[in-house]
Amino acid sequence: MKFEKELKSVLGVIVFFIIFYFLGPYFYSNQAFFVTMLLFATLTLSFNIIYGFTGYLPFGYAAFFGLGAYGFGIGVKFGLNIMLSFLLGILLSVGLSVIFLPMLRLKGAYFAIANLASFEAVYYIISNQSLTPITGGPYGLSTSSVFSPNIVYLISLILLIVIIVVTYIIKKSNFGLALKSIRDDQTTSILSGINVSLYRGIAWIISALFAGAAGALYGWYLGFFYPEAVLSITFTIFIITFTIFGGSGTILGPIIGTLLLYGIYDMVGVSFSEYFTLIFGLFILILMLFLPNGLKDILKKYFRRELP
Amino acid sequence: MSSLIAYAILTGIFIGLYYSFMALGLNLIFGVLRIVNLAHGDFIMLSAYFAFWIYFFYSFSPLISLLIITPVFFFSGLALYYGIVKKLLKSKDSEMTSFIAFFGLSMAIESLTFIEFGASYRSLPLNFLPISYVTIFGFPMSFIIIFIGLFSVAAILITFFYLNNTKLGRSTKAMMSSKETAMAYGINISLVFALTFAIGLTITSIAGVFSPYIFGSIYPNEGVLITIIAFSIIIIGGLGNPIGTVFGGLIYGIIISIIDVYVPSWAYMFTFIILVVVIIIKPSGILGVNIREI
Repeated sequence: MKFEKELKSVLGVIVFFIIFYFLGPYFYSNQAFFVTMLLFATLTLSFNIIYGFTGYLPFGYAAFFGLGAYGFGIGVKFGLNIMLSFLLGILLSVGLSVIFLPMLRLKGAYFAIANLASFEAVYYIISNQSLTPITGGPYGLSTSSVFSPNIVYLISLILLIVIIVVTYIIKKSNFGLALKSIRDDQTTSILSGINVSLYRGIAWIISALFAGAAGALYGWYLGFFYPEAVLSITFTIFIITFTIFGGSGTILGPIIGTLLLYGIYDMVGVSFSEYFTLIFGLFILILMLFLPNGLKDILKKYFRRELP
Repeated sequence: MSSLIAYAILTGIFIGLYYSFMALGLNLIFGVLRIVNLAHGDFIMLSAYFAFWIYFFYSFSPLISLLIITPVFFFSGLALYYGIVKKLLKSKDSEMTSFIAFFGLSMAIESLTFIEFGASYRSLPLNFLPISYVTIFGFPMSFIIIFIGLFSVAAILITFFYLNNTKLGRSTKAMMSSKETAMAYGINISLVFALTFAIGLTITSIAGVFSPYIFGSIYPNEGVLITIIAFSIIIIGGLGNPIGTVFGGLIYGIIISIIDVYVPSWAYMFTFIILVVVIIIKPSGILGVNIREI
């Protein structure tokens, strides 16, 4: 019966987001907030595919998101149509994840640090002055010629629904089971005949694919961006906090984390971004000290229920 | 051309000595406590701002401000250990938990500095030493770089003296090689942990005071870069191996100063590439034992 319950909550979330999509703008006229919310939910879920299911913690995850935006921006700059630019964004992000594949041989802190360093390397390449003809260097790229906020809003919703379904399928499949066993014990997984490097590689690439797509949509929505706007460690802070707070490895956890924390973030005011880095930093610290598994722990301890 | 390389190598040696010293605190803490202090660079930055602040208000030279800064960092280290780290060490996956927690701490320090000092680049005075240039092998060298290099050697030697010739230091070394055996011999683990964390931060703060002279200036978000540089160094030399750190610092210093001579705008990117390449090819470091899996 557990199966049905989980399916129900997934359908419930999808219906929630569809209602959210239509009714949200009536209550709060800031469309950017809703688009960003949907894209962050997508990004958090795609991060969850790699962190929640396999236990690899990519500190440089924002690189995929940023390259998605840059792929789209470069496509637009060189006159590709929107569809191809969007695909270019995904392609760059997936390409980067393929280059990073050997990093998955590292574990724990080594992986996280190597990933952080490679994020910085990507940032330095993209924002380097000598690449200005292609990436716009420090001056950024403009996508305003194809600016169409309502379409981006709709596609963001579709993308989010797709990743919710994908996460559900992964969680229910043998593939998901294999990923979890990789997270818990790699050696035993190998001994049980799981092709560890293949499975975690696939999870990594799927994760990068959705992050790139979300990034491409974000770049499209912004209309103009410079390197820090899309390739910022702030995105990594956001999604790590959202995922851990909600409960990693679940479907609802990252979504709840995003809705609650990003909602609060936006409500209190985005104008003092430094205060928010401060609050989020301290929040991560406190979470790790007292609630390393986030809401998942609270539900288990006080309500004896598993978060789907 | 060849004299240019010789010059780069000579500068690289002095800068490399500083880098070794800068990364030593991070490696000491990792070697003993087995936690990764991801806020390492932010402590360096914080200490540099502290020195800047003391100079700005009281015009004390960085050497005098060291007398104020080191005790502050030592006791903050103790406070941080008993307040946060001790609890983190008890959690289920202490390595990853503390890693994420220190990531949070790093972000908090960075934004606090930003709120307090703003985004502008700051620097410390150069005139606290009597001479500004000396000539070595016919090259005019900035004396401050040489001074910092020699100061780092002295500080590294003192640290090694502590590790090899005092009772607590030897306990620390024993903890690095085997925690269980050290416990069996009756070593007070909690005390060694607390002291190592505090000493690690103290070393870091001393390195921090000199950091503006090596990195050119101080700004709030330099922490991540410095953490990554320190990591590259201790990974080249081997995690948890203090002597390896000296080796790693020298290699890194020489490579970076050669790159800096030829392609300055890409120098920092090479830091990241060196780290990623070393970590993938031999994550245990050049002097370390193999730990890569599958």
